[in-house]
Amino acid sequence: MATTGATPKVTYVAFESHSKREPDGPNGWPFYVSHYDGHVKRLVVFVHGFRGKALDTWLDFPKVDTALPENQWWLESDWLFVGYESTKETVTGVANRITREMPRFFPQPLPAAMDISGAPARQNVTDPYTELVLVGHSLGGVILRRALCDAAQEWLDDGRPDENRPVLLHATTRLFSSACGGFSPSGRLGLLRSTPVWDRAIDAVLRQSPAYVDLQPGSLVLEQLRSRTIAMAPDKDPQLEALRARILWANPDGVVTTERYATDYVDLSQDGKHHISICKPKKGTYHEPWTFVRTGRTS
Amino acid sequence: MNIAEIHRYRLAAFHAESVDSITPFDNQSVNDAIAEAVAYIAATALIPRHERTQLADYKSLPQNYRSLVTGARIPRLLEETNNLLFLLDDVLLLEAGTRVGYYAEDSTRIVLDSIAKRFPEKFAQLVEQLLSGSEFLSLRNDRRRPQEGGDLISFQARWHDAKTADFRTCVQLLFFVIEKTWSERRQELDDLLNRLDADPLLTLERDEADRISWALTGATPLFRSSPEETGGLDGTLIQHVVDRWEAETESRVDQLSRFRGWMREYARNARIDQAPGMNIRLVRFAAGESDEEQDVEFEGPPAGRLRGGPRIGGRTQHPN
Repeated sequence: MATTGATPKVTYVAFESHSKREPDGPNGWPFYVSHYDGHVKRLVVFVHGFRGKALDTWLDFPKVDTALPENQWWLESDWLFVGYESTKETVTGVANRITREMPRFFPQPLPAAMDISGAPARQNVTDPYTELVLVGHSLGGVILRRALCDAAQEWLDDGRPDENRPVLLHATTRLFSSACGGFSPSGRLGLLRSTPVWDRAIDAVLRQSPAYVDLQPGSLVLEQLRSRTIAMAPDKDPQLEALRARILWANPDGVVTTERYATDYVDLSQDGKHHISICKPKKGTYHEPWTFVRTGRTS
Repeated sequence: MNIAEIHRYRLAAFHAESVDSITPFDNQSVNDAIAEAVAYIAATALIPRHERTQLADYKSLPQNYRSLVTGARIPRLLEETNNLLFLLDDVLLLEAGTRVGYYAEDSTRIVLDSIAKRFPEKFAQLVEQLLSGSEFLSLRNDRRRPQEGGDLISFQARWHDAKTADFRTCVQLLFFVIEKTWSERRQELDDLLNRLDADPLLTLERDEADRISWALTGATPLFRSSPEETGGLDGTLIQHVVDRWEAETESRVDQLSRFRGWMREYARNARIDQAPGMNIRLVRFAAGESDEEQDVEFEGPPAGRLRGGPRIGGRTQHPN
């Protein structure tokens, strides 16, 4: 990488497929392209949670200190940020969109972002990625698990064809305070009370956002997600490894029930962080989100 | 990749995202009218207050554009007008990016030349004026604007996130639709206030909620953030425009601002409660009396309802 000083190591390309022309396509999925000259090995996909925004939730991730040797990992990654309207859309709808669209981004890097009007993103724009990392926060974790579950089931139903293994099943999965166990007893209220933006809270309440129903403990969405994931036994089948999540919880969280699935990896927690701040790294003081996404562990 | 190659890529990305994505109309007079309207709106942020006339008068919007929006419907008219307005902020961000080394020094000039070729002369002139005017200098030096590369990335990200469908609708309604359309949509806000008065457990049908969210979440990036409210996007040109219009009594921005003030009071004086079953509701309670549910009066913003109506504390009749 030839850039130095204040120049950011990744650049910003807002990939839009323009919802006006393609109503069911991804609307507002920004793409951060690495200019690293070596092999950009992986695509990291970020999915925000309730009340979040495609980029705002992950705003501090690009501030990673790429001078540190371990953070070479981030230079070897392109980043895709999935945007959706969390107060309006359902878990099923967003999950289906991710399942449908992901083959456009993986394993082959998005052609539209690799060369723009004759300007290449990096020296090697054709080598496919070899890794896919899915990162979700809160509701974003539910959405990712739903997408993974559907991809796995479809593949199993088709007789596990090697040549048609769904893209999503190549992933490793990292979740920050996943909402897969639903809201804690006071969680829904806690979430709204925690919002510093009054109009989002009002909007969400007045419209009885679908996510409130989906994230009610014991909801059909959550129960089916749990039973289907466990039934597919990702802990026993390496080809379904993507369904086995690593989770980092905030402690205290205050919004979601902090229970993993029986088939997940043993989970981690971070003291002194709450539901919102758990996925917001800070240079010098809170490196764990960067480390967790990279390794699945904390430092 | 050397830095020159990276700069080239970034400029190409900017061009594709901000310039090429806007499609001028085949009809040059339509393009000119749009450019004139955008120039007028931007000028409200760039011309010193004492030199301006009554901005609250909607007729100040150039006649040619008003003729377009009142005449036969032109598909994409409002969308493309919005896009051209947002391009101004994109160019300001590009200019900020050249100062922090994110873009090459000559990037702004290259983009301005491209704009001059692609868009009406009036618009190209506006952008030139924008970047050279004294008001822009103060905007450029706004401490909330990006001062280094990391800031720029964050600012770009927030600007990207801000441009939701609700945000776009809000900008259209505030600046580009005819008065009749504005009155209808503002009336819907009034109706919401009345319904909240009458029913503390109010929830809306999906379509109803969609109809008013332009004034709630959609409008948030337009208004300056208060200390307890971090959802705003401070330091954009469009926000400076809104600042200026908010000060004009009975302008649309002023009316929207008062609606939002009332809703903010509502949120402060309401308890978010969980009803039996699945519902979450807002329950009003008297300020200072914590969680005890009461059916009490509470005060609205000092300016009253959207159009100078009686204080909300009366809880009776809406003036409209």
